[in-house]
Amino acid sequence: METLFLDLGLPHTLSSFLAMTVWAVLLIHFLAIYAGVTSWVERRVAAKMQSRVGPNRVGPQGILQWLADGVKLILKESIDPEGADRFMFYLAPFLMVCGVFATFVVLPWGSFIIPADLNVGILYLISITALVVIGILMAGWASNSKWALLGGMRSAAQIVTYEIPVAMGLLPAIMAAGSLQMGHLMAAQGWAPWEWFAFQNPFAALSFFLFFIGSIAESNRIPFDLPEAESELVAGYFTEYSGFKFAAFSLAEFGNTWVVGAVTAAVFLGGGNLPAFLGESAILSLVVFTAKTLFAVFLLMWIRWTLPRFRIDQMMDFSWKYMLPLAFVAFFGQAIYMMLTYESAMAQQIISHGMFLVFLLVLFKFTGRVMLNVREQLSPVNSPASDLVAPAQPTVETEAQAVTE
Amino acid sequence: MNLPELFFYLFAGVTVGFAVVVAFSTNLLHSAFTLFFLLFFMAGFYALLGGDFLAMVQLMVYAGGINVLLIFGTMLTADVAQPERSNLSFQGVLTFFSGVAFTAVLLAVFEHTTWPLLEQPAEVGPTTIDIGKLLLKEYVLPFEVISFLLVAAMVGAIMVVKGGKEQ
Repeated sequence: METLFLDLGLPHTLSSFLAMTVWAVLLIHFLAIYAGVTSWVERRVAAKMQSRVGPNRVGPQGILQWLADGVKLILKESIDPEGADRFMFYLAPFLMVCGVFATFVVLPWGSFIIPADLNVGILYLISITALVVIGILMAGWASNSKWALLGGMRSAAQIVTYEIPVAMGLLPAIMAAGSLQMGHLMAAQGWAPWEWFAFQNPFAALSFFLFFIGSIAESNRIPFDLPEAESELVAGYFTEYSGFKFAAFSLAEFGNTWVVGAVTAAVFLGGGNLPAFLGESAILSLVVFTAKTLFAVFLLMWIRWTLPRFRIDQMMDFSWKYMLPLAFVAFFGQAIYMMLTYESAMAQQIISHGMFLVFLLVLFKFTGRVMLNVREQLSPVNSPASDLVAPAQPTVETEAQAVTE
Repeated sequence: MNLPELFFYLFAGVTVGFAVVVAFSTNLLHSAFTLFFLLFFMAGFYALLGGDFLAMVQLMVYAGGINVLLIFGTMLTADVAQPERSNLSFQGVLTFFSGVAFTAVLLAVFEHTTWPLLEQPAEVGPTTIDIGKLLLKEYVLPFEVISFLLVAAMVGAIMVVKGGKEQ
């Protein structure tokens, strides 16, 4: 994009500055619209999973619900709690949005478009989370409320705790690619599933699971949404927020789902790599990458609406006693795997194809199970035509037995 | 003025401003939060100097780790907003003498050191590969000794906590 402005005859400083500005404007608008649409999609998916309808009134299938929500939140009165630290109270939500938005600097858009392919891209992605932690702590303290303070403390502790398994979970992929750069990480994988880091070997698969679980915890979603546990803390660190500041928190929360999805897709699921016969099309690569990202986002939603919430001590135990040792196992395992298969491409091929076959097996088993469930649900429970009425017969038999006895 | 220079003055101005707030704020927690932004902008200097890895470590360790711990600690302190317990409560005479002495030593060091100047800015490139090679080849012994020290410190911390519980 910088060359575009240079071609127009603008000086170097101005053109690179303009290029940055254009990227920033594009990305922040994408973030805002994506977060809005996702808030609607998430509610619809949740409703589907819980046999409800969900928002379906505003626009066809309720697709404009997020606009209505946004307008409502902007028009709402912005309440300052008594004794709140006003400046910090107003600053905190926007710090959180900054923390999420800042990660978009290194997030790729397919194999060919990356806003800034930093040499330390993945490290930047991990360390910029600090802004979110500070935003949460600030919101918790400035609200002058016990719920908010406790929620903020919990949330910050949780993010700091799960940052370690997340970073350790990324390490095997970094080792295999030999680089911290997003572009290199994607280029080290291929288009086919058996060339992805997620299926490279058992240890890489383990690190993929650790990364994904840790990311869920870092984005404060169920089963790790203790900071906002309604039964204990009302709404956690944003208990006292209303109006547009509350909307900013939601923006950060839903925007974060894209960040998790995009990192998962780029580092573990092959990024936007295309098979050779499709050529080097940036658009197609973008489509592939977006599809993978959205699938990871759907996984996040799926987990959120099917699992119950952890207790606080279980949450801490889970990170320190299980995930961290497993992360070390994955790290050393990957090192040993790389040493053993360093010279034999054959062994690498066999292991990765085997991993993919195992995955397919699990997938088929799972699909079969789901199909079974769907079939059982399709047959109406109370109609005499269904075979679910069958349990009536055994009772007759037992009665008959009782009579004979 | 080229872009790095512009950003240098921007970072420098902002960092000094934050430092003033950290030093003179009457609210301890404001100081702690401002310190975060100070450390955050320090990473900008490292990035301008070509130390990409160092900048990220600054963000991760100082801003994301140490400062968050510091804020936790400050939150557990009672009466953070009391002026008599914050930055303004310093011992005037003692501070004056120690400050003057410290500045004098610093000035002497600055005066008597010959600072080597490069004729032109060094070639700035990715540093991660070189850092990795140096750590695992040339400086592998210091690296291992320091990691051993850190493990010892961690075990010690756990022992202290456990001992406290038993008593």
